[in-house]
Amino acid sequence: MAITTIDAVVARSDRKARSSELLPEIALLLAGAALYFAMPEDLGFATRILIAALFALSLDFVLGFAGIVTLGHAALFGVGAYSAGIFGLKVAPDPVLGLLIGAFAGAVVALASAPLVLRSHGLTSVMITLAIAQLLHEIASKARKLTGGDDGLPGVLPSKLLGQFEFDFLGKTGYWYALVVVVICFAILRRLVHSPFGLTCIGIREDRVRMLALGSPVMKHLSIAYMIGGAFAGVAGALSAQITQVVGLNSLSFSHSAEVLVMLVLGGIGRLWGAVAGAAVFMLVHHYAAAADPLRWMLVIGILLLVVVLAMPGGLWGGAERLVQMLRARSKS
Amino acid sequence: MSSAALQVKGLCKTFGALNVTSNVDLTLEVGARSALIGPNGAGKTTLINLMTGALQPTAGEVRLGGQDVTRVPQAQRARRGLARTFQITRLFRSLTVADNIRMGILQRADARWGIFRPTRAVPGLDEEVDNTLRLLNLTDRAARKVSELAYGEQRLVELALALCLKPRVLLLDEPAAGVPQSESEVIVRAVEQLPKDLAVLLIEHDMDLVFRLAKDITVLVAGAVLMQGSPQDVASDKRVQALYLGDSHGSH
Repeated sequence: MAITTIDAVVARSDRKARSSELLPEIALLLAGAALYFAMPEDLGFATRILIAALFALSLDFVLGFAGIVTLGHAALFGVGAYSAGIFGLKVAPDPVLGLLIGAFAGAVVALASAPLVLRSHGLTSVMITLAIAQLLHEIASKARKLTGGDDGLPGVLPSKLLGQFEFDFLGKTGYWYALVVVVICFAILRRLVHSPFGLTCIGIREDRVRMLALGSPVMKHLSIAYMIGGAFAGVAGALSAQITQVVGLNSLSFSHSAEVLVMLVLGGIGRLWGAVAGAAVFMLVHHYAAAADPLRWMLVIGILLLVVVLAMPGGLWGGAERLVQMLRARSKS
Repeated sequence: MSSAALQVKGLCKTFGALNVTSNVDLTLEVGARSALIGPNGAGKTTLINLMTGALQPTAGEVRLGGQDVTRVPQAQRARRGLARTFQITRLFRSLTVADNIRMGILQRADARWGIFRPTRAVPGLDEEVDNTLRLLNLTDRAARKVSELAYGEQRLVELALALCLKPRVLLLDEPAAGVPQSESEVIVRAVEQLPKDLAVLLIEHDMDLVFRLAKDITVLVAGAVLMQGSPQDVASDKRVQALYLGDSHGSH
């Protein structure tokens, strides 16, 4: 038997600490794997849940942490989707390269619109985000040569992932690819919100005037936060373009912006996991309720939203957290 | 060239036809303990906002450590060592006291751009947080949410946040406003213990506080300087007596 020295103990607890740092990512990966085995017949839909989750995560960073209220988040998703789609068609079908193009496009549009969005507050700012998204929607609709207009951009099958894995018609490769991308993005966002940059975002969200008095260049900080959110929304868009192999005007639409906001509010704002949970619940309700009654599925979402907003501050995820705490407290006593 | 910590010259601010600040001259030497007093609506907070850059003056200039900062934005003035507290507490109420201080310290330098290192692992940060908390006797409140603190303690956190900037000039906008008598002593002591080379301008209604802390006093009335002088001069001035005994007697 090996002698356990103090050093060994320290090393082990160190390793433990480091691996537990990755616990949320591992949990997300496992949840994704479970989803894969739960609906092997419907991987296309499962993949769309992942994409929605990433889209909601990007909104959570912008809205939940930086406090930028937007009703035009689809602009950033759509731009990512169209850029990746066009890039795939005209330049190179490599999927990873496409993701980077999508991220870049989302980031550029966010950064370019930041001065407009951030110079005002409240309702004005919300209206500006809406207007920018509508503007891009209109441009995409008119630029038929580039975007296909109302018909949408016909997709192109991405080339082999990393030169190894073919995208199969069952969507197995697509699913794992999307899952890995979402987990990586989740990991990056989680690090961001726990970093000094993220703390500063929270400070600005809570009190801009105080942050200025503390010497924080608020506008610059928010612009960069918005740009980061744009990059992740762009990645979500690019994923969607590659996997559904079509980019429609719907990706830029107001209803798409509203949907992602509903997902986030359902799941819980400002907690990352809320975005994931909200996207999953929204998509599942959509899927099954719409199958049962294609005209009235929104009713279910509406009721759910009402219950959450009125009775569960912190959303479904916040509610689940409180429940776990209560159960724990009870089992202790 | 003057090396005053903070100096304003000929400062004017008009809102439309309203003169809220007219031709104010004020100098804070290094290590000054000055007070700015005046009746409600005299333009004291406006003057603070002009000094910090929250407002742009209509005319006149602001110099920080001898350098003209009239056109320098607020955040940059703060990073150059001009700190303020707020009359009505502005804190991150949902965060703990320690996180409030952490936030303040991170804003001082480029540390706020740190992306991949967790806040807790920023070198030297926790140590500085501890030091700041100790300075204001808040150590045993570190893990409490600000919203759970007594108001007097919140005022101390307000002061602590301003000190995070390691300022050369500190503008205190009614540090004891709204604090019960029993708690205000803590704040007075905290102000008394501020570093000697820090220039402090105290804006106050409470005359006891002003006379205890300030070595010289500026009296502001209707946006203009009525007089400047030692506490004795100000206390014996007939106009000031009329101003204070006349209209605020009994109301505070």
